[in-house]
Amino acid sequence: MAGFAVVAAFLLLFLLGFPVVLAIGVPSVAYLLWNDLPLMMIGQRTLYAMDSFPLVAVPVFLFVGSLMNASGISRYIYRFADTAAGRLPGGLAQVNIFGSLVFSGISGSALADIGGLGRIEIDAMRAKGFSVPFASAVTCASAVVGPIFPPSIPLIIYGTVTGVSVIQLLLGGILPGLLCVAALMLMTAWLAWRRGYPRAERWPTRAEVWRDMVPAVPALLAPVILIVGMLAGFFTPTEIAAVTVAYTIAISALFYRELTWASLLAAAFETIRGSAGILIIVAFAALFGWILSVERVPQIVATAMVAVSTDPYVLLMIVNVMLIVAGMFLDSTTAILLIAPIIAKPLVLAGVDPVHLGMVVVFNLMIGLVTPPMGLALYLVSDIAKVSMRSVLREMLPFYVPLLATLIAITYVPWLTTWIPRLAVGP
Amino acid sequence: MNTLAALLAGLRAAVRWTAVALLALLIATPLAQIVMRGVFNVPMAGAEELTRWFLICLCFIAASYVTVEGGQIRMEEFQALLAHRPRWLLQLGIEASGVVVFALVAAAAVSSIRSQVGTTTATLEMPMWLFMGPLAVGASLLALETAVAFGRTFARGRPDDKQTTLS
Repeated sequence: MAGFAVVAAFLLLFLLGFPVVLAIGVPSVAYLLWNDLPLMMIGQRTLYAMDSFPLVAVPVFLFVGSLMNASGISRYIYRFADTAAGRLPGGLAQVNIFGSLVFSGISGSALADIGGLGRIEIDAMRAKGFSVPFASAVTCASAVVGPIFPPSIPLIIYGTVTGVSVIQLLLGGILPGLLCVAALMLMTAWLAWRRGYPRAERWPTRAEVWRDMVPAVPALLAPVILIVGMLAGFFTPTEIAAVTVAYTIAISALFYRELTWASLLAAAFETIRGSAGILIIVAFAALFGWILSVERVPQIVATAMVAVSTDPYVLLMIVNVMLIVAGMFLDSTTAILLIAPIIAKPLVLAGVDPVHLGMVVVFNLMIGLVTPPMGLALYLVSDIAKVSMRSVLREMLPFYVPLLATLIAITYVPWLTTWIPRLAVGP
Repeated sequence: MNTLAALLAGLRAAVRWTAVALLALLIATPLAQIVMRGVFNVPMAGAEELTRWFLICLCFIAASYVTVEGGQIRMEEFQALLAHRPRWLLQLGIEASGVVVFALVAAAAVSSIRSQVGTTTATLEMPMWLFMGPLAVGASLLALETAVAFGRTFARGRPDDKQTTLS
């Protein structure tokens, strides 16, 4: 009972506007004091959570995203995407989605995608006569791919808290990411056909593709190095993150020559702000999670879920509903830290593959990023485009169809997630 | 007052630049390990433990910088519905609870360090005070910055126009 009181206290404080670290910390410290437990427990649990090598990849990949925006690489990716996909029905809207896929192969954060590439995409679409709310909605919907296609900050956090192989999780995101892009492009083509959106007047010539691809090649090689490095087992995810930083700095210095010391420092400060904000929550969530396990909350939830059904697909459906609702109110890091340890056990016991479950959890929470009232991506894109969230939301409505269709596919076709990891590292 | 402000500014600058150095070390250590292992076939013993310690340092020491920048993840949509005075009181309550919680965490960290004097970590044999030190320092800095924020909110006499922070 005390465990559920701690959860209720967290939700209340969170809704009252407490920073997440305090919404978790206040009930946790109160629990220790109330039960006369040693406060030294705080030090042990928080340090234990941070003493994790895979977690090092979080700030390092965030730095990659900031660096790409600071060094102008995002612009080259966009120019290539424009040439390659601009003739497709929907023109720049398709470019927006394709560009997000390329960017996501390097950065791993939906908000970095919106904050960097999103600005360029919305401005370009505005100039070509697209409505700004529609441009914002496409940017928002396509940013969902960022944390699905490797690398992925949420998948790294998920792997850290549940003990699932981070490499397998990252590789598991390749097919779902591509599927999501294809579904979003189909919906965009249909909308373009109905609304008569502009597109490039002709397909690019080979010379034009070559002209815009060559400057983008160094950036396009980054996801290739990353995926090959993981598939071949050369590097751990953390090492890959460090290699990607070195590679991004190298190509910025040698090819793009736009990265200055000032912009490098600005990228570092932005990364520190973003990563320390996430990591301090990870640290305190470990204490919170320990309290829940002492109070047997995961076991109680597991018993309740198994009482409904032992069929893994029914349980996955319950999890989907639970996570979509959670994603509407909690940011993805907090939701993963608090919910994943509770639901992982009953689902895995029921026969769900842990990598498959990880993808279902993260994709659900990414849909939460674009769903009100706590859709962080919606806030960010409205702020960048200077349009009301309501108008963006209206244009977002059709895009929930491909996102939910992808979610259903990921949930009920497990091999979409498990095939590549098994191919690479065995069952 | 000016001396205090100057001290605070100096402290904040030190935190900012320490965090930048830690981020650089966090990237450089795994890279050095790859080079040593792949090129020279001499893996660095303890590189992984050292990297994890840099992460611990970055997490706790940079946390106060995040607070100064208003970057702690939060949702203030419901708070924004409140009238000015209850909202101001709520913000004071949040900051006061922050001071208490972070001060308790700092005290707990110091207590943990004192109880483990003489012990070391497994691979690098790092003294426990050094391993746990970042938590004590970081929590103290968080308590200090939250106290400063509390003082400012109190002196202003009206709520801060903060908005939901994006992570």
